[in-house]
Amino acid sequence: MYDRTVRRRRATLLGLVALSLILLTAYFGESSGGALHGIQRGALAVLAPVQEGASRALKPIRDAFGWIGDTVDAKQERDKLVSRNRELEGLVTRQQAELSQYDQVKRMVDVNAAAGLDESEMVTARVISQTPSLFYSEITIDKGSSAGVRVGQPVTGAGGLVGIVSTVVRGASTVRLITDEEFAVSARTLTTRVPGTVRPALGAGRQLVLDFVSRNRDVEKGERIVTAGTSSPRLPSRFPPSIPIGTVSRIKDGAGELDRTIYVKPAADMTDLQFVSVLTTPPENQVTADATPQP
Amino acid sequence: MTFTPAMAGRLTALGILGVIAQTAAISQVYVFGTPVDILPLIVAAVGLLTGAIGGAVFGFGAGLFIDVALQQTIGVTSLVYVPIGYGAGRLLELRDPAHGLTPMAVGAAATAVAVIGSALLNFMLGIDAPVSLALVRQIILSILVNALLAVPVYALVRRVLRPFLPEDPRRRRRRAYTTGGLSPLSRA
Repeated sequence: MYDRTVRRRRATLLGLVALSLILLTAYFGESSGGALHGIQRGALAVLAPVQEGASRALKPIRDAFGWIGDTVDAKQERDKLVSRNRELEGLVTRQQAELSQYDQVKRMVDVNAAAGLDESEMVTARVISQTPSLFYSEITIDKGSSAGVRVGQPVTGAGGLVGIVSTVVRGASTVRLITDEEFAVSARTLTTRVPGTVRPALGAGRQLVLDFVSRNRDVEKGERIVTAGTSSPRLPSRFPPSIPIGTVSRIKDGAGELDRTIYVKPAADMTDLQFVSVLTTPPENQVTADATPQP
Repeated sequence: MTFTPAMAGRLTALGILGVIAQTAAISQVYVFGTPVDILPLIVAAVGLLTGAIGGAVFGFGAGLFIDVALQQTIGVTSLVYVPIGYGAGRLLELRDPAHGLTPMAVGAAATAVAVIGSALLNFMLGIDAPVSLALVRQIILSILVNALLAVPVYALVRRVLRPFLPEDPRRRRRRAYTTGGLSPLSRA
């Protein structure tokens, strides 16, 4: 009895496997118009409507499972996109910072070119620290004596004149900004060539004033102020002429002959300096004085 | 187990409905990026409930129906499903496993045989298939997903075939205690 059962079981297995192989072989051996292919086509014709009906009937179930899967996928995708968004935000921030730096450098180069300084030897330096005070009177740059920077050399930035080198070590320098209370530079109006001296406006934040301008000289609001350069060999200036300093923002008349306050808004933004140029070798046609800093 | 025409009818209906449900809906459900295929689980469950001959015959029929319905190479799926049904049936005959997680292990093994067997057969028949790490990953995911689905599929098949299955003495004993019936000791 047991042997019979075993034999029947094994025979069934072998028979089914053999039948499968025969079908497989026959299917491969026949042409596309053969009997087995014909059965398949017939089955397709019969089953297609059934499958279509089943597909429609089971659509809610499929959608429900799909919704679960989609939700899981959406969560994964969201996490991926959040991560990607963080990366892109970092990239955009870096690129914006680089663009801002590029813009500053370009404006600085334009200033130097407009002042005829492009032919002179200039050292471009990165601002590595800034005095954290309201007036930002000093900055530190990453170029020092090893790069040819010396005390007393003019410094320009995006927009115009920035200041003068006040301290130098081998790999860094300190620049006294034009808004520092000890700073002064001979200047003139750009179009009417009215001379004067630009110094910080005490108590007026980042404003400058153009001093020693007689009342009968015509200065108007909006006039651009540039460095005067050396007007006499006996009184040489460290600053080449025509470097933009700022724009006349306000004029306040007083009682005396010279008692007129001309406020100048600096051309360079002292609060956002990233790169500056140090004029290490003034143009040859400029008269240079000794390099000792002014007190 | 004795096969009756009624049981054969139920198995046939189970196979046809299983194939239609699989092709019309279930194959479009993706879990962890892999499509769900419950047919190896149904074949294994039938084998686990009816024995080697029943499993093998059901596997052959279901495989043949799939190949015909899906316009595949006739004989390939049958060749893969026959050992699945037979193997699950032999497990029942030799071990009579009673553990609740047996269908899970059998389902995982059945899926592995189905996926790897189909891939090997198609490869031998010269049907190009991209063999890559992604395919291996998909095979592993299919096995894991089907292992999870095996228990409910087994329960469903068991429910369909319940009238034809011999009553499990363990089940009868449990029912007697939990429903407040007399214990065998008190009856004695």
